[in-house]
Amino acid sequence: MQMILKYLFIILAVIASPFKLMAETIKDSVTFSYSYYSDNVGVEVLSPLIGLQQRLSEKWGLNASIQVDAISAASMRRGSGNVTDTVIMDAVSGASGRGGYDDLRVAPTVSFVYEDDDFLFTFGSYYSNEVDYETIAGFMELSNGFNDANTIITLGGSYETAKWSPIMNRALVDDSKTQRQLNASVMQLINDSAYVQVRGSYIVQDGFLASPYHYLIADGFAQFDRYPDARNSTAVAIQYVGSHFEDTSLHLNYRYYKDDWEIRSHTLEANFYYDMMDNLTLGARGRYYTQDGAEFAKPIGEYSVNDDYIVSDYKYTSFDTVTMGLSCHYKPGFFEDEALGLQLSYDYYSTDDNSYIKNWYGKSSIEADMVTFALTYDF
Amino acid sequence: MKKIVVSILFSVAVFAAPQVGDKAVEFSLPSLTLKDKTVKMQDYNNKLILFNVWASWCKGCKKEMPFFHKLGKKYAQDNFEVVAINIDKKGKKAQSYVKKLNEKLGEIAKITFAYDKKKSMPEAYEAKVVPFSLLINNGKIIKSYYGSFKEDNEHEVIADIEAALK
Amino acid sequence: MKIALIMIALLILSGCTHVAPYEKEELATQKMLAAPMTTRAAFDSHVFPIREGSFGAESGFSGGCGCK
Repeated sequence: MQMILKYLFIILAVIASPFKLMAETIKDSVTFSYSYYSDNVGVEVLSPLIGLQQRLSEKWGLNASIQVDAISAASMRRGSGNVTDTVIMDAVSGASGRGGYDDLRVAPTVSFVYEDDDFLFTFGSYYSNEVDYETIAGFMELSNGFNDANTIITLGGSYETAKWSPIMNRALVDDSKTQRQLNASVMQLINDSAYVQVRGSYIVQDGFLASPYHYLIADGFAQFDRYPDARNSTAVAIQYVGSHFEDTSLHLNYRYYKDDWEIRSHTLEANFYYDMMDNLTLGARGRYYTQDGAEFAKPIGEYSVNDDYIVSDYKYTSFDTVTMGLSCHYKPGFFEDEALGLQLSYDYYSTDDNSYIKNWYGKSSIEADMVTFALTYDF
Repeated sequence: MKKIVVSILFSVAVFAAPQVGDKAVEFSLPSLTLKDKTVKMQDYNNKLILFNVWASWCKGCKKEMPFFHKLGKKYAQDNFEVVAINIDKKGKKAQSYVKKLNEKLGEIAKITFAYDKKKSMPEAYEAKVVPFSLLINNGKIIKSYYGSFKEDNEHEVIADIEAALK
Repeated sequence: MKIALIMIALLILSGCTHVAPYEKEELATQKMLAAPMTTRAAFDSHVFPIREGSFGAESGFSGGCGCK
């Protein structure tokens, strides 16, 4: 891994291509988007975002956005039935009753972009705050084009640190979590209507990696989830994008993931887009995800109180998901230079039956609706 | 593996395109906006022209068109013209854009539009970017400009035109 | 798996033709972006890692998730 990175850095330093990387990336625009998630296990998330892109000079640009997640989570009784008057928290939030929602997350992001004929450099910072969890991250990314930008190599990295402050006054021995991520990708044009992109990520996490609210109730004991305090992950994806018939494009994506918890997954996704008119594009997608669980995840009834690791969160077990959806992108012609763009999408997401989901939520599987809407105006 | 990567990255293109000081490439292309009219380089052999290659899918190309119209109007009496060569796959999109441009300007754009479906002009000049423009005086290239004109570099081409007209 | 990916990549590279900047009309369209629906792609990067046990190698790095 280190040798590959070394060669990539040498290549980027030596080659000074006189060719323009791609169409100008820095532009002046404002975006308002609204994303919505709702599932059958009582979780609802409303997520508005306002974003701004501003050209600061010939080569510098600024991107700034602020996103709010308003999360509602139903309190449910679950487990073996022995606990009858304990309010159980949803996996993703704690009840705080802020502003009519169980949880409110505010996340501003700021980044700067430097672009010239040779390359594109982005760096920035991300902050997220909610009642029981605070994160700050720094990130950067460098892209360089070769051969008239027929080949583009991108390297990026991020460092994130987070702190838990669980409600219910649960004291954690270690309340912090850090994540370091390295990304690399190569884009190669195949011809004037197709390209392929290979992407890779290496992620190292350490600290408190469980949810402080998940716990397992079994015969004779109730224990909070216990996971290893380190996790190393690798993900590799290959994406093909091509237009083989007029006014259409086909996107095929495959990702393989593995980590040292022995979680393995395969993600297959296909998207098809069709230009119904010059300024209206319709899309359809299908996504299939299959995962082998962590080595320390056992059938629920087989845990004992002295196990090193205890899992009640279905996310670390074996399961499959399917996502299907439709989308559209529209640029009203009455706006000069088609400056206004609208995006709208709907997806249906479902998991297969899973005993951990049944144990935690009282439902055999999760089914969710995901809707996104965005308005972008280019100045 | 190292050898393959290095050899791909070090492939060099021989630059044989016309440079500043050379004769401009001859062309004879159909007009984009006028039926049965041909736009030829030889018609401009005794003129000063701003030769531009553009596409309707290129935002920067469209943004500089009002500036070209301003130049075409300002120096019309000085034997100067703007000749804009479109390279869209389908001419209809480009024609539709020119119609919208004329509506926005409130008059017919003072630009001569030609259509180069086969992209012979950017190929002949080995263009590395779209748009690109050349200032051609009496059939000879006197200046080249890569990328679109913006407020901070429009003065450059105005100065070059005025110097050439003296 | 690594060898298979490298072989696929080399196979694709061997069939590539050079595309000049002025030939990129099709590639410049919205539907040819790696993630044409940018807002949905950002929301996917947020929802899928929360609901599933995998992450990484996404088509656009948005700066972080802050996901629990």
